[in-house]
Amino acid sequence: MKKRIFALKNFSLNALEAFAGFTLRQNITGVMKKVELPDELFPLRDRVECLLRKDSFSLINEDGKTVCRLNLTEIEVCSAGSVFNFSFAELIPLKGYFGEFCIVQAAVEDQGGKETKKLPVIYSVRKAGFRSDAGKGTVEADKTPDAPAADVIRNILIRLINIAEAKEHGVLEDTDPEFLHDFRVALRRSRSAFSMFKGAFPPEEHEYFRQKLSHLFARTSLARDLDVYIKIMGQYRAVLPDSMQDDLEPVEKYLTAMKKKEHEKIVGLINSEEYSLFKNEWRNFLGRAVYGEKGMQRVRDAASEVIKNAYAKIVKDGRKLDNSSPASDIHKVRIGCKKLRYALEFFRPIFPSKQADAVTKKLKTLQDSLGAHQDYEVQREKLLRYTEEAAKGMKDKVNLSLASGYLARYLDELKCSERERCLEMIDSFISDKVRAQIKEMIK
Amino acid sequence: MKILAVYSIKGGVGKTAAAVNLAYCAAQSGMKTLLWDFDPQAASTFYFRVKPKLNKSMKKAVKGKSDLDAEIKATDFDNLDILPADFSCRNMDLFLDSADKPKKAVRDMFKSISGDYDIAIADAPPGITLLSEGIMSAADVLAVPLIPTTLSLRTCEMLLNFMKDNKIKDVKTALFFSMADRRKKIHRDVMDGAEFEKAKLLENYVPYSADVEKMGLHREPVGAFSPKSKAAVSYGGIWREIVNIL
Repeated sequence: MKKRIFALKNFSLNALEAFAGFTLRQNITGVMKKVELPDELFPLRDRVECLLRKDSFSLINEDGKTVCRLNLTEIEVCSAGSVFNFSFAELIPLKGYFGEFCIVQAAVEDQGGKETKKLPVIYSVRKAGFRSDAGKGTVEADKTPDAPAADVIRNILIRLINIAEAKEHGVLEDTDPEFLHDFRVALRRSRSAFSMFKGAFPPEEHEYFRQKLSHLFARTSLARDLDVYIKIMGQYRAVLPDSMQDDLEPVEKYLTAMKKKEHEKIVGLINSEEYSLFKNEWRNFLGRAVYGEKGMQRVRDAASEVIKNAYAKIVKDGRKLDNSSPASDIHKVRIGCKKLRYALEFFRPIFPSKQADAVTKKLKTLQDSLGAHQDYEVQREKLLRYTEEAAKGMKDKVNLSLASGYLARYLDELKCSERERCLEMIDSFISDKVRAQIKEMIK
Repeated sequence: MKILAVYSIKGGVGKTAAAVNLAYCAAQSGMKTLLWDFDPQAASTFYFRVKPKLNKSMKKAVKGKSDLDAEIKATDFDNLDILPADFSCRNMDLFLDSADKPKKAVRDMFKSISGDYDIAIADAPPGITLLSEGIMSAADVLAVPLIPTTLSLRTCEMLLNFMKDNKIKDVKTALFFSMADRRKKIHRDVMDGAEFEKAKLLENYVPYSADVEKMGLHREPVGAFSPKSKAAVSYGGIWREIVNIL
């Protein structure tokens, strides 16, 4: 039995006591204080501030025994002078007192409490009207299943280039690595959406822009890798024994110097005439009503085909895997999953949400595992490469090599343990059950 | 899961108080703890404000047919759950007598508890019975409270001989003085002169204390309502010694 969280309106503790027939005893009186926004609300941190207060209570029966615990949370979401208030009841069951827990739950629901699976802070920020994904790369098609595929894709691509453009300033300033990440995600989604619907556009133009998008994306890859690696170095330090913790400093210095150079290249790219010209050409192309042989196909049919093919590719690649398969083969499945995920996200509004969400949820879990596996694989290789680069010109390389070797073994172990999980999850994802869900979704 | 049984042939020696307070100490130290009240008087159950059961589940439990997990109740303290006393415990010997292997039946009852408990503390009823024998056999450590009197020592010797005669070997026995009042000469003499060959006598002892009696009023362990009292400190000391034996 797990704890449950309820969003409240006009909640009264006296009414709760009267309904449930238990006495409330306050154990902790909280104070209102600022809380950090969770990772998924990260892009909002400059605009939104959250204050939280938590009071803790016990519900006591006639023997003086606690039968259920209750935390009351009050949250203030503040932004640009406006304040939005929310309150929540968190009910914590106690073993052997399920009946009493149900009574308390009924008392909370009787006062209009609505259960939420979200964390109170996330719930409050969203209810206050702030969407972190508005600033990210997620774009959905409009709910027009009968519209021509090319028109719908064009609309998605215009919105994605707008997102990429909105991130340019942050990329140039380089105050936060997330700007470059979001910029790249918008480009990758564009490339993916465009490639998936090959037949929707004239072949020559399709090939031209596909290559341009790929090229542009590739030119930002090293800078992103370095951002990720610089962040990871802190975690690596924690993994190393105390005596080795400073031995990777040469690698850190090397990465920071490299990042500086790469950032200069990206500044050059974004300010270049070449990039400006590409955007003009791209917008121009997206503004024209040109259609390939499948451009006029209903978007629902076209999207169904894309989803079916993307899943079939995962099944095909997934079936080939066994314990001895190289990491590159698992990576293939990962790429296939990314494509399917984008397709599911883009076209979510035109399919039944129940099936679409169920498949997306499973896919998300699989992607997390595939991502971790690939990260360990790549991190290990790159660690050794960066160590080699950083060691050039050093007189005493022994400590650096030892620390690097220690971490490489550690990453290898992580990769092996993740690998097993990955293979199991791939097996589960290519099962008849998921296939049936996708079939039901696109029928 | 380790098993600590708190047991004495004699009644009224502070056995239940010890079981309750040692369980509290175990839970406070971070161990996930289950206190199992085998005594039909249900005093441990009372101390935690839990209602005793009246559903005769022990008969089924002896046969391995009862879901004991479903009977467990959370106490008001973190890491501490209780399996409340059942009125049918009074007939445990009858149930065990009809079982093929009574000692194994008790051991299997402990094994059937599936929660991730680090330790189960049994509050065993007094007297030498099939149940107490089964609990002694299942336990890793047997904690025996002794009132510092000659009669109490004699009963303790009886217990140790009983264990030897019945080949109860795998349990470590930890004796400790309980309700000790060092103002009384007889208590001082017994405590200073006591020696046991077959069991370990703990250095800490539980003093005669009004705080222990007040547990009935507060209905919680001494450590919860009077954490700095001599009694609470003593139970803490006894618990640390038992951990070393466990």
